[in-house]
This record gives sequence, structure tokens and C-alpha cells, in this order.
Amino acid sequence: MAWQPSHSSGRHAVTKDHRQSTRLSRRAFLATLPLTAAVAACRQRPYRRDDFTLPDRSPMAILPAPGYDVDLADVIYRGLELLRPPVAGRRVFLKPNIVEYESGTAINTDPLMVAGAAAAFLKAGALEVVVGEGPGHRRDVEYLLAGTGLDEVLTDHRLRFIDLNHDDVVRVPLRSRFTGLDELWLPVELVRSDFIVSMPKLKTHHWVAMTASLKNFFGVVPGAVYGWPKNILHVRGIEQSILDIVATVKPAFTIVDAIVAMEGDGPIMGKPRPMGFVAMGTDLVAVDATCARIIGLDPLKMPYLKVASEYLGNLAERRIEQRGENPSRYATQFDVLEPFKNRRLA
Amino acid sequence: MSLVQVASLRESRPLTGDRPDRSTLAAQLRRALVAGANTGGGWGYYPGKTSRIEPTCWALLALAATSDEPGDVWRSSADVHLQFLARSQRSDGLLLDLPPVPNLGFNGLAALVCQQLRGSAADALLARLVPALVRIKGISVKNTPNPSDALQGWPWIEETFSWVEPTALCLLALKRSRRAASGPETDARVQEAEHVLLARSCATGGWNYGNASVYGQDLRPYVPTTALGLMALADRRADPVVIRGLEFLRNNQLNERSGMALALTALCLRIHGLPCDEVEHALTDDLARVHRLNNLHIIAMVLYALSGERHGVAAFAL
Repeated sequence: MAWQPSHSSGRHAVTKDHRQSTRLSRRAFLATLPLTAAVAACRQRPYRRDDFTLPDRSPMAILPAPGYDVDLADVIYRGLELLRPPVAGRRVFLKPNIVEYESGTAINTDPLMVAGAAAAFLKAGALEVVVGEGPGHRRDVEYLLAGTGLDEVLTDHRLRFIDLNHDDVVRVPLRSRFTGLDELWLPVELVRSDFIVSMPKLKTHHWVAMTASLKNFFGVVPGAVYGWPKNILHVRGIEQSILDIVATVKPAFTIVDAIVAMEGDGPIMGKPRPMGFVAMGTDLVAVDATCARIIGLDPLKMPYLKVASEYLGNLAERRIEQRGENPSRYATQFDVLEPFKNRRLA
Repeated sequence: MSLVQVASLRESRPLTGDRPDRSTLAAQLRRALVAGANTGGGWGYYPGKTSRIEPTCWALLALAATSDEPGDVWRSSADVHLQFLARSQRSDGLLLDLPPVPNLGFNGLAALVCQQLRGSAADALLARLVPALVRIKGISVKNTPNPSDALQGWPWIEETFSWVEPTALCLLALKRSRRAASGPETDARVQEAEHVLLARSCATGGWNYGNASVYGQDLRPYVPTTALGLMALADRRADPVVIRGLEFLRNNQLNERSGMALALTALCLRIHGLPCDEVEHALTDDLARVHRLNNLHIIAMVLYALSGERHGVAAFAL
């Protein structure tokens, strides 16, 4: 991956040469701060509390899946039966995490998960299932589709693929504004979908400690509009962007591929870590918080998850209702990069 | 690979053997492009989608290069598409297809295409576009472990960092614009952009999307970025960075199987005078997938690459 600049921490003199005197608005300035500092500096949250309702309880399910050779359509359908999301007659949009292809790694959502989810949603009464992704730094989506095997799955299951980097876009006002932005231009096919499903791979992440259901939505921001690797989001803050995108896109469901997860220097250069489960739920914050606890990270120590729990979903264990396997069955400690070791569960 | 080895490759004979009829394949690609054009001008990335700068530029380039019509007839049919580009031009000279901000990589491509097509519409567009490209640069980040962070090429969008692809496209456009007119500002931008590319070459040769290393870790080069970088530096063939880049590209020319990667590789090898038969053969093998995905931008790139022998990749040549 080639994020720029190459510094690892600290503040650096950023000049635009001919426009060095550019003044930042207060909102734009807040967006340049780390999320915790930006939140502390805010007198009030950058969203309308009335626009969001936290559920009293967030049901989710963890289902065993020891390998990708099991009947994943059956696994996911059983999860849908446990959770009963309202998919009948809906156009379901599956958003897998397709980042980079490298043989023998655990970077991407396995295509067989996508195939299983499509079959399960159709069995549950979905009107249509489409698959969409806008890879963050590789422009060449055909290469990724072919390399990962997703192209074969799409062809075999006659699933339509939406290239989110190059779809037409529509202006969407942001429902929260941690980035300081008022709006994003988002792919029309995504915005018109009425049941959006995050399908991430569970991975450690070298910038935000962990990536799963929420971070996966970076991929919906169109590269042809905002550049690669979705430059504007990095400038405005990764954690801020995660919050604003998820608040706006309003995903209805998540299915986390934790059959083989990734630990260490994720989301690309980490090591595969077999975990043998699929996590599902309607509350993405609850599912991500549970995944964090399973891999030994404290969700309260992840700023974007902590802030998300104030308006997007439940983080507290007492508010999360486990309807499948007990998460403790899978509890372990993932290897994380040094800066994130203090985010481990006590 | 040494200079001598590169030179010997340039002289080597093309592969022989059974190949699909190139003209039939090209005709299919042309039909797909013509059918995918929007009646109001331009092409979207996919049929039925809004016209965008990048697919329109590649489609114009590919159709112009493979047209058997007399020049004036072709120009007449292309006019509606050039008008789409003209309508996209803002008062500051940059082209913007969809809000909120111009994509500078695609603006570099538009300049290259207009330089190739010429004519009054293209020339009028260029007159304001090239100065805009000279004026715009990526932000400079100082005091980092990597001095190249301070160098300013072109970003994808304004007020962000410089990346290899937009830098290569805009650099090529400015180098070609200097044939008509040059000046100290253009020369300075060309020089600094070359430094960006030369400084960001990966340890193994070739280019990643941005820096050559992050957090002290060497990054891997990719085929499309390397092909574009080498095209922009085709006038510096003796530079060790170019030689190493070509070595990487030759060794990996078939490793990224996609229309984009193979097309850019074929174009790059042809520009550098190296054999590209194997790559073009792979392109024809993979055409079914290209047609199935139906991305008009990629279809146009493939058509332009497969007809390279006819046009000599003139639009990108230095």
C-alpha cells in the first residue's frame, strides 16, 4: 500500500507553495485533529441527536464456519433466521472488502462468502442481490475481480457487479459532520439500494487498530471523483470519515468474514489467522465491538467505535444480545502493531 | 537488465504462431465503443451512464486511431464528443465532469488526447488547460523521513498529495506541450515532476501508487503504475530508474491480467521499442472478460493498445 506521506507520526509542515496562507475554517480545522481531540474540542456533536435512535438491545449472531468449504449459504441463511432482518422484496447491496490481490493472503472478503450471502438473501426473499466495491488504492478493479476469484463467483451466480469507483454519483448531505464536510457525492447504485450489507474481512489495521463492518465503507466513496486512495477522506481524518459515511449510508446489516482473519500489520501486510466464524447483525457497531473483544481489543479504546456508540449503535456488552455461538468460544489475542498494544482489553 | 540487454530486446523479432484475427477483434471493440457513446456527446464508464472525461478521452483516442474514414468525416463525428469535453471546461481551464472537484489525472489525459486530435475545438481547450496544469501542484510535505514528500507532482485532486499516475499523465502532457510552446514555468514543473517519479521508484524497480516505502517498509511496484511512469520518462531511457523499471515491467508483463494492466504495458513497451507481442496476445486471450465487464474506458484502452502497430502510440510518444 502506498499511503502518503511517508511519515509515521507527528506534525509536519504542509505547504501548498503558492497558497501557504490558506486559512482553515473552524470545522475544517477540527477535521484535521485526531478524532478524540476533535470530539473534545466540540461543544456539541456534529449531528442532530433526533436523527439517530439507538436500539435498546442489538441482536447479533456468531456462527461457526471452520473453513470456506462449508456450505456458506446455509451458514448465512441460519444467521438470517436468527436475526430476521427485513429483506423480503428488497434490493440487497452486498459490499465486500476487496483491497488487493496477493495469493495466499487474507486481505479480502472471500468470494465464497459473497456467493453464500447472495444465495441466502435470495432464499430469504430478497428481490435482487447486487455486489459493489470501489477499491481504495488499486484502480484496476478487473484485476482484483479476476485475481480474487470474485469475477468467477459473479459470473456463476449471475450477480451484477457495481464498480463504485466509476458509477454515476449523486450529492448526499452528510448526516454527521465529523469530517467538516457537508456532503459527499456517492454512487447512485448504492444510494438507490434499499438494504445495504457490509461484508468485511476481520483484520487488524495499521491506522485504526481494527477494520471490520464500519471501516469497510471507505470503499463506497468513488475514486474517480475523490481520487485514490480516496484522498479526501485521509485529509479529513480516517476515523471522522468512517463515522460520517456510515451515518449517511445507513447500512442495514453486516456479515463479517472471520473464517480466516488477519492479524499484525493489517489491512494488507498482516498474517492470516484462522478464526472459524462468521459474525452477523443489524447493528454494525455491536458486531464490530464484539469482534474487537474476540481478538483482544477494547472497543472503548478505539475512538471511532467509542464515538459511533454515541449515535450509531451499541457498544456495551449488556446491550448486545448474542443469538448464536458464545463469542467467548473464539476469544483470543491478535498480534497488533506496537502503537495499538495499549488498546488491548485489560 | 543493462542498456545493452534492453537494446537487444528492442531488436528481437516478434513471436509467431496462431493468433486471433486482430482486425476482427478491433472491429468488435470499435462497435462496443460506438454503441456505448452517449447521444449528447461523450462516454460514461459503462453504457447508459453519464459522460465522463476519462472514458471519453480514451474512446476518442482509440476511435481516431482506428478510423478508416477520411479525416474530415471522422472529425465531424467526433465533434459532439469534443464538445462534451469543452462543456466540461471551467473558467480556470480545468475540466470537471461531475462535482465537486476536478480529477487532475484525467485532466492530464485530456490534454494528451487534445494534443493528438488537434482541430479548433481541441486547440481551444488546450489553450486554457495546459496553463492550468502548469499552475496546479500537489501539496508539499516537509520534514518527513522521506525527502521526496516535499516534491510536488500532481495529485488526483487539488490540495492532496502527489501520486504516480496523475503525475505521469500530467508530466507527459506538459512534455508534449513543449513541442508547441515552452517557458520557464513549464520547464520547472517538468523538472520537478521528473524528480517525483525518479525519487519514488521502488527498490525493485517500477512504481507503487505513491511512495517507494512507508514506515520504513519497501512497497511493491505495480504493472499499470510502472507502465505509466515509464511512458512519462521515455525520453530518459539511459536513466537507471528507467532501466530498472523496464526490467520490472518485462519480468511482470503478464502477471497482472486485466485489460488496463495489459493495455498500458503493451503501449509502454511499444513506446520503448520493446516487443509487446506476448502482452497483446494475452490481451486478446482476456477479451471475453473485458467485454463482459463492459467498462468502456477499458475497452477503449484495449482497442488503442491492440492497434498500436497502426498508430505507433503517437498520443503518448515523446
